[in-house]
Amino acid sequence: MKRQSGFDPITLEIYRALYTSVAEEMGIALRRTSFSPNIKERRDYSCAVFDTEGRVIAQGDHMPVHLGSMPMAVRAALQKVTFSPGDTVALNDPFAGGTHLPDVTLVAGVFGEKAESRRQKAEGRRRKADSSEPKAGSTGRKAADEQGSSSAYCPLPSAFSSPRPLFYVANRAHHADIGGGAPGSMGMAADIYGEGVRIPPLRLISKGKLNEEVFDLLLANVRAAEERRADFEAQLGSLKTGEARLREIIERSGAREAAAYAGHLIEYAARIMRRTIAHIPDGVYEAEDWLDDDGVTDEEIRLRVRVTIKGERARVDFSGSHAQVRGPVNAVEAITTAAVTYVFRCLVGADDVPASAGLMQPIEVIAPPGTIVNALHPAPVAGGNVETSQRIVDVLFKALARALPHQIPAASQGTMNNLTIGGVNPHTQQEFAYYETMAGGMGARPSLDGISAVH
Amino acid sequence: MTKPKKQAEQTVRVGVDTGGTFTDFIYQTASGLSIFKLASTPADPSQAIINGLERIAHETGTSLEKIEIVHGTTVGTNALLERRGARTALITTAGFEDVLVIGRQARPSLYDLNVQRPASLVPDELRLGIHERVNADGAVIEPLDLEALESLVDHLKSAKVDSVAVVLIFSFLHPNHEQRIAEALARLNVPLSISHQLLPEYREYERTSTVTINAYLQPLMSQYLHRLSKHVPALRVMQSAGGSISASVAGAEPVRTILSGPAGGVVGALRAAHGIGVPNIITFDMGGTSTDVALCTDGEMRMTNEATVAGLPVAVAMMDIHTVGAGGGSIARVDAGGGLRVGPQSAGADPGPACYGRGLLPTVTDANLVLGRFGGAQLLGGDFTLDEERAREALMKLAREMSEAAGRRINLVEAALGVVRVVNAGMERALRLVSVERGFDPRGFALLTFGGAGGLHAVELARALRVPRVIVPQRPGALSALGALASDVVRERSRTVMLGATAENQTKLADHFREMNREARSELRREGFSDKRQRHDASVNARYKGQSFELELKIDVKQQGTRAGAAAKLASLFHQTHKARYGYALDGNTIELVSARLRSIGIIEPLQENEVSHQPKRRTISKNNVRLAPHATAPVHFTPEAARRPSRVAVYRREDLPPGARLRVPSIITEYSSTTLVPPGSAHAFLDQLGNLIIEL
Repeated sequence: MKRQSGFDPITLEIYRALYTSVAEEMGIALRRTSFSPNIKERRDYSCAVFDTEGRVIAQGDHMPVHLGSMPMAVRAALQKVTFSPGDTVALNDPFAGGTHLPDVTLVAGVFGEKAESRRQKAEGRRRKADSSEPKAGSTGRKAADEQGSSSAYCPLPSAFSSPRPLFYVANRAHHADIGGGAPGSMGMAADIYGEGVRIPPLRLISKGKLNEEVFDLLLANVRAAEERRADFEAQLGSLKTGEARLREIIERSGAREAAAYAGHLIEYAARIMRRTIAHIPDGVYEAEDWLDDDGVTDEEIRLRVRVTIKGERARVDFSGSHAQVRGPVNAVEAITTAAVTYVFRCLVGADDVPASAGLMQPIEVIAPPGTIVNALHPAPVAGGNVETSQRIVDVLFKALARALPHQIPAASQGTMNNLTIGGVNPHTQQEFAYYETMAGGMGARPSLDGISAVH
Repeated sequence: MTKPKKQAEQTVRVGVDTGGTFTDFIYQTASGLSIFKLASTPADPSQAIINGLERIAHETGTSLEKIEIVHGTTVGTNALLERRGARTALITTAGFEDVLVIGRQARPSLYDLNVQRPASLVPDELRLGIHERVNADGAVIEPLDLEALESLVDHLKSAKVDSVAVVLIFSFLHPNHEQRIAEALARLNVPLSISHQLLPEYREYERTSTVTINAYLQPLMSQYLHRLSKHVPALRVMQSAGGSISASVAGAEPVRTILSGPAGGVVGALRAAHGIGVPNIITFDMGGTSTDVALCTDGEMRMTNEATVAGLPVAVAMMDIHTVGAGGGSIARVDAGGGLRVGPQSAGADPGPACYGRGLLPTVTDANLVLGRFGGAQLLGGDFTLDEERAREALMKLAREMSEAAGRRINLVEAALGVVRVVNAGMERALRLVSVERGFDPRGFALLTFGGAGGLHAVELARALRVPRVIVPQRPGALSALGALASDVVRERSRTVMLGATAENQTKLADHFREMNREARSELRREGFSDKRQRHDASVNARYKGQSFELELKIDVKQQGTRAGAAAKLASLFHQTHKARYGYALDGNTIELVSARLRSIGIIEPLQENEVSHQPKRRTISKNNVRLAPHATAPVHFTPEAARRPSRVAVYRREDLPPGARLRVPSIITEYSSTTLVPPGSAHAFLDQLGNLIIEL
């Protein structure tokens, strides 16, 4: 307990509310301005706030399957791109931070006012200095340069003057179509190439300017491009909302405190998860269950899990699960991690614990590469997100029911009943693509009925 | 205006607001406004009202029949919250019986394995489908099954239902099927709620929910109002959208009264703000278990059609009032992760905060008491004694738990300040939600606070939000009743129109408004408002074609000019509004006009305000300001560092303060139903010429 120096329970609660409301507000903006029914009505989107290292601090209660998988998207973006003020990265590659292709994630950095104005000054200088000045070869040098020139009249501690973003904001929305063989991009493709456009992490907006050529390429490959464009606008608007709110927080309390409490919130969630795990009796709990088939052959697909609880830590091992299959029900690792996060988050209960990176600290997930729970390129993965994820949750609950028989519900419907319609509207001659899911129901609880028709 | 010789026959207008603890009365007399409070009678709220009215009749020398009341009621809200409404049946298009239960397929709480849906207002066996179908263009593609209708009516008769809701898909485009069902149901002799009459708008789930809520509350509300109007024939009811409606409308459309009480508060707040020329306010009404906040711009309240009450969507226009489950009675605790939480659990009235002498749960009120923020005064003019020792005991326990979590010693004062800060953070979030998150900069607003507990938190909240000014109006405890009394008569009308914002469609739009206007005018005339005392405000809800959520645009239907000019003006207004709200506009996109709305107002005669009563004592005048010595001083803790040495703070009694009085900073102002804290760092605190307490930051 003594280790948590500088941690104040009151300020912690205030920051929890602040960061959560940033994520919630981003979600409201996205929902109210988007065009696809799947985003605006079914709310298939998520918004989250990340610290300077890309660890999630808060996430809106939007889509459980995005819960543990958004951090991977931000991590992938950070590996590929060094963010400057005004950059927004787009990605959907399931093998590089994505889940399945229709889920497109946008990530933007949030810089302090000073970094922002320094950038503008530095840009001005560079312009004046003409091209004779050697181009900044690495971001490290550029940073040093900017820091040096500003420190004379703006003496800041090093943490403040870093040109690195103080925070990141990200949102993910399931677009009604992302190209590929079938309208709605959820069809029976043989591989990832048949499922639509794959977007590796790239700058859709670079220093405030839309990368129009990339955007055109993207829109040329999806159905109902105008609706997609509007949904992207809505996603970008939502990021702006999040950025503005975080800037206010930084301005009000200072970057140092805001960053410190982002860290404390992660620790806080980790503490809560450790307590939760400590309440589960130590032991090894195993379960297996099946998907009926992959749509290509009639072969059943086995999901197997072995949960080891030891003190405050859990290990969730999916070894023994079926190898990845030809049909599009493969889950990538992000999905499996998300399902595990969701299940353990449910064990915490109804309290509004921030969905921060801390939740997964005491949990180790083993998902062997090349299996149904960690499919590798070029497996088709569209259904892994919506079908297999549900069964992973069910099988995990099944294992945990042996440890916590009075707490765990029975299996749910195990599918999202995906519906896609697409074609040309005969009245308007315009293309359309439509996607939604229909809720089955939640399994019965030890002392309560299940619930009909909920996701 | 009063004619003394006709005093005995004089009509007396009374505003009545029923609260959980008290029923507040405010009424107009020759010398101004008078207020008093009586204990509420929850079993039958009309009892307290009749007792109060008898008192008023006696004092003014008039009879109950000569009293006109405008009533803010919680009968509907409470019945809905406690699911005490009527045995209700719902008739839908076959196949749509479960829309009400399925809703939007969302789980109310994502990670709660024991979560339950809010109970349906209509049991499974009373949600009944009938074969008929109107399509999205309003064409009948399947006629109404008349044989089935007959047996349906028989079935409902034997099922002994008390109320029936009828919601057919697209009935607002073709009401005939609903009309025929209503005719057939007439022989049941129970109240009917028909969707095309109550809410002729799309969004099937929200419309079904709204009409069903109405049916569910109808018998209860109409009986209650009937009972009351036997005693007081001139009865009007405050509606959630602001303004009053007749008792007969309220009885038939009780869904319009769900925020009756809080709406009165907002009207009262706007009135106070208008009196001193402040157009932009955020209202802050903090009670024992919950707090209502609302934002008003340009002297007007903001409306929503997307409210959720008791877990159910309500799609009729109501004030955009945001309620948080935190108030003076909210309980503080340390959670598993070591965080300090306050609420949403409340100690309620029983056991109540520790200082009420029954329980030992540390609450916000206890924290305020331990910090000395009540200024040594007792609540409600001494009717209520607070047990400070118990409050300290409860907070000491909390402080020990907090110390354990933080790994350092946290003292009593620090814990109490922590409770106040955390509850303030929740309030701040609510205030941000109605302001910053909707694109309004709080720096352009004043915080207008009323209700029992608001004054202790308002200035600190204003500072956090950078609101430059706090206003505590006169009689903050009876502001909702005053708002009801001062309310105009208001009727809302709306229609789904679904028109592209083109020049050609301007004619169609104008036709809709003309029809609605005609209906509204004659209705207000029937209620005794000449055309001169009527106002009709038109607006349209619009969106980019493809979006699901609309923005409301005020329009002037009488404007001169071409149709093309009107269409262009509307389009540019929409783009601007979208940009202001969401940060961008899609200038090339088609705009869709979703619904036409008309708010019709019958303007009542203004109230005659009295001078502020005051008995100034020991006053000295300096620089045109009245400076006066405080009634007393009291020790108050503002910072944990000063734990051992609290500040001495001036304590004033509000009734002592004349207009223009300038108060010390920091100070505490006590009055009958409320206490206000002016913390250190406030720039000025004074009473304006109308008796409002103003604190500038």
